[in-house]
Amino acid sequence: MPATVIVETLISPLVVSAASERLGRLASAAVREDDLEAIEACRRGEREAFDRLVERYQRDVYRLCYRFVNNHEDANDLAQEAFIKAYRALDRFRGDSSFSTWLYRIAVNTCLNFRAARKPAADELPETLSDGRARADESMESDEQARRVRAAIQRLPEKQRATLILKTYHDLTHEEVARVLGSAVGTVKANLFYALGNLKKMLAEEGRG
Amino acid sequence: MFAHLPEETLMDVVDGTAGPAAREHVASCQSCRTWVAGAAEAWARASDSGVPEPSPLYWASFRRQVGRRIEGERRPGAWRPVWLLPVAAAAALLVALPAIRWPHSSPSPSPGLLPALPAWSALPPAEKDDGLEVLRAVATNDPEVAAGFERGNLLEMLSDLSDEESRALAEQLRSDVGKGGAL
Repeated sequence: MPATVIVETLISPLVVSAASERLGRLASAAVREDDLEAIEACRRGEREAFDRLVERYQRDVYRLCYRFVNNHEDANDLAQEAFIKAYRALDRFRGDSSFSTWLYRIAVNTCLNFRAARKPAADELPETLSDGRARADESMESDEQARRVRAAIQRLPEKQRATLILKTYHDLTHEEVARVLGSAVGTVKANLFYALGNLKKMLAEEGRG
Repeated sequence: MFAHLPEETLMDVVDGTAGPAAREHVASCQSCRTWVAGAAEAWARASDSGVPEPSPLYWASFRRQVGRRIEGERRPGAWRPVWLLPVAAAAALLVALPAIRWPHSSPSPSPGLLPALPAWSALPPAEKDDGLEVLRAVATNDPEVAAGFERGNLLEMLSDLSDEESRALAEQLRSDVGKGGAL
């Protein structure tokens, strides 16, 4: 019997899955520990330690901001702002949640404040979308489709949008999203329910258009 | 909206964490099945819509910019340019001195006849600048300021100030100059 077959037989998918999950947990614990070390170093005045945190989370924070504002310039400004606010508030980070959850919360609040100050309220959908709304549709190339989905997400009410973004693009659990948004797990699920319902209607209307 | 299953449970079905009872209901209920299928499709389309990726060089620049802004702002409780206060006071004094009307000085022309001051005027060269001695005399009371002068990096220290600190310094100078009557 070939060795690969023996190995495949001996190592069942369940074993591989359990090992992979365990590795994932270990990696995540190591990251969390390194985050705490960097934070402690920052508190001791070693500003450069913050670069480690920026390097680790800059892509996630930038993408999170991009999802809120849908353009590079504002996403860049907001992501920088989120990191600077986090740095200023490091002394208040108690470690109850992971640094990434805390940072996301700052980034989400920064984005929501920005949108509240800038965005005309008329652009946002009501909490549920009426069936009669229709949008013009053009070509359906994949970039264009992605742009449309992003634009549709932009039109979701803010809590639905924030929930959908955190759950879909940042792979957070319902509990983690609830911690970031400061709400209950049930509320997170309900917001996601309505967000997906609204998104489905908007995309379907575009398809019909 | 859905009498069959609560919203939370339907979401559990969509993300695959629902219990067997909920899954069985959805399997046998056309209305819930349609909703779950539609939501799952919308979610998949949302997941597929990527964000345009900036150039790889962007991230290094992003880090530098954040670092620079933090350096400019300083953390609460961290180093503060305390030496700036005596420097600001001395500078204000220097600007204000010529405008003070000393008792023995000749009568000055009426304010209406004073030539308008330019918005900016160059300082005299250091060797001819008597005011610099005054500034040094005041400044050297503070060891940190003295060190700044010794190293000749006053400009560098000033350029490191955050916007907030610069504004506070400007405000202080304006206030001191205003009191001295130079403006």
